[in-house]
Amino acid sequence: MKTTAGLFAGLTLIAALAAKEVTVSANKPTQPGMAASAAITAAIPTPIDGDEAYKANCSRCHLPPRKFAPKKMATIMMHMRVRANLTAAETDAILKYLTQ
Amino acid sequence: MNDIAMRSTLRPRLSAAALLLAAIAVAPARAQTAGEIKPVPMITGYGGVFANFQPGQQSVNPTITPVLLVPLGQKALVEAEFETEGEWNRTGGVWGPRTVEKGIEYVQLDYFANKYVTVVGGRFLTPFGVFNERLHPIWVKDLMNAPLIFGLEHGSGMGGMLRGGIPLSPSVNLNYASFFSANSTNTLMESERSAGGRWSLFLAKRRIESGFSFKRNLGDERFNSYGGDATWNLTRVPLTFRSEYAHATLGSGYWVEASYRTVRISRWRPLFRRLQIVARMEQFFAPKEAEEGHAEEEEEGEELAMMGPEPAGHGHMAELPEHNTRRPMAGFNYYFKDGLKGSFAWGREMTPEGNQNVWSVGLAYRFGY
Ligand code: HEC
Repeated sequence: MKTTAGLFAGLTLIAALAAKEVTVSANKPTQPGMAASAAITAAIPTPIDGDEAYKANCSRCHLPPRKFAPKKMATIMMHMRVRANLTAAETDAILKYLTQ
Repeated sequence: MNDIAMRSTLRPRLSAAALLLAAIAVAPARAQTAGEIKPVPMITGYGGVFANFQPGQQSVNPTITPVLLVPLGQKALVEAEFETEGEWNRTGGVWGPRTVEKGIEYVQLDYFANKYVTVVGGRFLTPFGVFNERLHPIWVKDLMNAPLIFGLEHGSGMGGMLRGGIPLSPSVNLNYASFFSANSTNTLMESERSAGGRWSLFLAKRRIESGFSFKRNLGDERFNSYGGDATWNLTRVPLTFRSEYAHATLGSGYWVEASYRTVRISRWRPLFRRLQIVARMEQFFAPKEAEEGHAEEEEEGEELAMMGPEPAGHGHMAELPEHNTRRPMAGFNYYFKDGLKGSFAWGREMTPEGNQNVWSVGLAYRFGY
């Protein structure tokens, strides 16, 4: 029980902190002492190719459905961002791709 | 409440609090948006009917399940799924009464704390394995018969969750969903206290995802469940492999499924353009007590099997088999148009008690307004 709660809190914190590291370093890539996370950032391709991200992600769980009107597509992408654990950048790139 | 019991209820609460604090602490002042387009409220969801035929037992289940999506600006989303499912069973040639179950599958607030972290609060589908959270809607699952192990992972809980995706390299994404859920006393929303989550690696270029799930039940019966899953969407052929394994006190088992879209077959275009062929092999291993055959122990086993989480909806589909069961199944889906499909499947259920055929037909429609 103790270990479970600890493990759970630990894993969550690691994920959250890792996310912070990447966020911070993305904002200030030149800040000293951030070599490790800067390396992570450097490895992340920017900008994300919407077409590729759509193809890779939108058939993971179901057949890719038809497009909706842009405002509805924005809502659906918020929904799918949660369901599919997408990053903000992937969500934006796919939304852009689906509404152009 | 004695000291130990009190401490054990406090601890998960503390970890849930730690979870929320961690999320808030890492949220940058300006949260990320999903683009410039203003999202609007929507009603989506699905409806359909599923009929299952086995010797001595037939059932028909119509369902209508609207999903409400209400964006609160671009940083938060309220989502809720309301399920109404009818159940009409025929046992030994006699139709029983028609019953209707209504329930809230989930009602949650999603807050996009930063690029990689979404904080979820409310009642949500347990992120354990892939079937419960991702594949359960009838328009999504490729075979309408839920896998035998579905009862091990099925459920939703009231609490908090942190989830998201973090790119580890250009081709590898870490997906995570860590949750804590507390007891809910609402009869419509029964659930057990538990903590756990699912963590997976997604190789976007290869379209392969492999995940690990863990759940600790913290109610009167304390036990751990764990599982693994893998999905592979082939890029050169329209073929998808999915598989899952789950282990819990109530039993264990696996399923492996392949589904193939026949879109590339150039003959009989009107048929093959819309067809999908699916095959699944699965096994369930009942807990020892249920298998040993002594009347007393058999009863114990049944009691165990009945303790499985049984929240609203899904009816018979969330029950666990009483005996070791093997079930190969094959079927097809015909897509009349986007979001509307007809399904047909045949399988053979093999248990120490005997073997029998299983047939199912279904119709599923996904809507979005
Ligand atoms: C992790 C699995 C998963 C992935 C990946 C996924 N979806 Fe979904 N999607 C679902 C599920 C599950 C539902 C049904 C939600 C429900 O009924 O609660 C759904 C529903 C939908 C709907 C119906 C409207 C709605 O929001 O309920 C649309 C449209 C949709 N998805 C589009 C997409 C697009 C576009 C992508 C690519 C970004 C995508 N999905 C990726 C699981 C997924």
